[in-house]
Amino acid sequence: MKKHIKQCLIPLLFFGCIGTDVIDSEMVNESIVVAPDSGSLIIGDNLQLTGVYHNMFAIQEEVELTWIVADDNIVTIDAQGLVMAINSGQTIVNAIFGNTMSNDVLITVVQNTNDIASVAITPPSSSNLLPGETLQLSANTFNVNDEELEGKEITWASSNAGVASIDNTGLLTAIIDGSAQITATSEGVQSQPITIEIGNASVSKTGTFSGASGYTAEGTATLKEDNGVITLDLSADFRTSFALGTFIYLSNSTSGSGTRSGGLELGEITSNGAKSFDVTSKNAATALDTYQYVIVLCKPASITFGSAELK
Amino acid sequence: MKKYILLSTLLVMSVSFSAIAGGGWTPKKKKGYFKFGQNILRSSKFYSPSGDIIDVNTISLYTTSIYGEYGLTDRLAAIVYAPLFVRNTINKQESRQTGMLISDGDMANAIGDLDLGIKYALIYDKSIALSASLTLGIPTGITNGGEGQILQTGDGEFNQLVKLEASKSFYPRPLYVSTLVGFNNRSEGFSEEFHFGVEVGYTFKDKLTTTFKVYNVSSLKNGEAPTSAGNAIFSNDTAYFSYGPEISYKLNNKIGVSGSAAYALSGERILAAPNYNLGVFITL
Repeated sequence: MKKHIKQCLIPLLFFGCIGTDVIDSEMVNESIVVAPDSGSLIIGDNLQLTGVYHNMFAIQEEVELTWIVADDNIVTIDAQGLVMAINSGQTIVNAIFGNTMSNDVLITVVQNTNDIASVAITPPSSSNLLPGETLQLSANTFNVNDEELEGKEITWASSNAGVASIDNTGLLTAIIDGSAQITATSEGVQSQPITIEIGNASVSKTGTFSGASGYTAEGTATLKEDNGVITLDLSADFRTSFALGTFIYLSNSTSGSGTRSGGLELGEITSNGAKSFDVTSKNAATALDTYQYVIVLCKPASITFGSAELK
Repeated sequence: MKKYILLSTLLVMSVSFSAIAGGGWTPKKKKGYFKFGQNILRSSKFYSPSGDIIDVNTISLYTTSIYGEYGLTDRLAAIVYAPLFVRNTINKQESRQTGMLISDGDMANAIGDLDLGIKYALIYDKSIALSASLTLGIPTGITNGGEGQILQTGDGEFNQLVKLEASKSFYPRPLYVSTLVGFNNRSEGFSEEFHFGVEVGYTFKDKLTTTFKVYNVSSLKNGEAPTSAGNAIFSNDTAYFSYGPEISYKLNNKIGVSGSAAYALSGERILAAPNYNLGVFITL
């Protein structure tokens, strides 16, 4: 406070203080996340689900959620999210607010502890394959107490067999570009699906820079994923206008203020030419499709020098 | 840096307006005109290099200056424009929805670039007065101010502005017209500039003078100022066409007050907001 007074008091005789620009945060999709995302119950047991809602500005809000069950012969759920197990089987539970629906919550109800209550696919070494490549998947079965039940027969299924097929041993074969969801089933109990992406498009996105408002931005940007690490590469012919404080951002907006408020700052640049940025180290939650643009931004003034739309 | 461009532009505008105020006339020997002025410019809009108006963080520039013309002889005058104190700020940014701080503000306080010049009356005893002047832009300002080292009160280059100014009085009617053309030779790889201005003034009852001014700066875009990190992106190739009124009132034979505003109707690399000036002037 003292510092602020010192900074402003004397200059205020003739001059103003530093002001404040109030800007709108970047709008995002509303979301509801329900936890836990799966559960196993014996008939008569119950499970408390909790839903967290974030509004269009990514701000968490307390709202009254509506709970729905796909098959209410298996479980019922009350207005507070308390699940009651009625009959054996599997069903999906969701929470809804307005037009926003939560993630699927897979509920399995069994009669006793000898029954298979869950099937879990072991996370594969890679979820990105090129056409022609194969991937061996495996799964384990568990009872309601999460104790493994060995020797159970497992069947496999692909949601898109034209993109990726899978045989009864869990050997997946990539066929053409696209994505497929894989599930494992044992004694009628299905696992949570895993997603397998096929093709280069699924592991990288590329965009060509164009200048904005008379500033220069040329070259290409490539956002790629390798073993779970997202990297942004700028090409050797990358050129841009420069000011003191020129930064590279990932953003869903091409405006300067939108990029400042909602984008991911990757680093400052002071020269043209090839560059590489470790995106995952900046934000581990960033995926290939999290952001639509690569932005060259004069950060101090929030001026966009150029952008590349990632496709 | 944009502040810098802003500053650069403001300085040019200030000098130009003051200079054209004298027009083709020069003060007689040991006579002069001195003005203590305060400029205020705040803007969240910016003319981009393509001439579009784009949003920027709000930038404020407050310049306290002294301008003077003093007659060394009946034909030769010395000119000085001294921006004694320049305060340059950039606003902080907060989210409307969350109230969270998005970016800090910054500020720099320093002297600006000094202009020193001489003006020589080529024709001074006719109904039309004509003078030639040379103004040297001395890079006394800073180019790396503020915590972020990005705020500037000068462009860091030495320039030489040569002007021809002509004025005509329509006496006995209290009306005058002044025009000028100028060429600004800039160093450090900055582009040269062509200046043009017109001013029309009318005086009521020997006390109140109203003027309307237009001023144009065109860049020849022949500079090679570095495109790597630096201030050239904002201060080089600046251009604008501005207009605005000025009112001055003589409190007595020696002292008066003035107020003016100027706005860039079009421009490149310049803030898109009115530049206001208040001043107290003394005539010798």
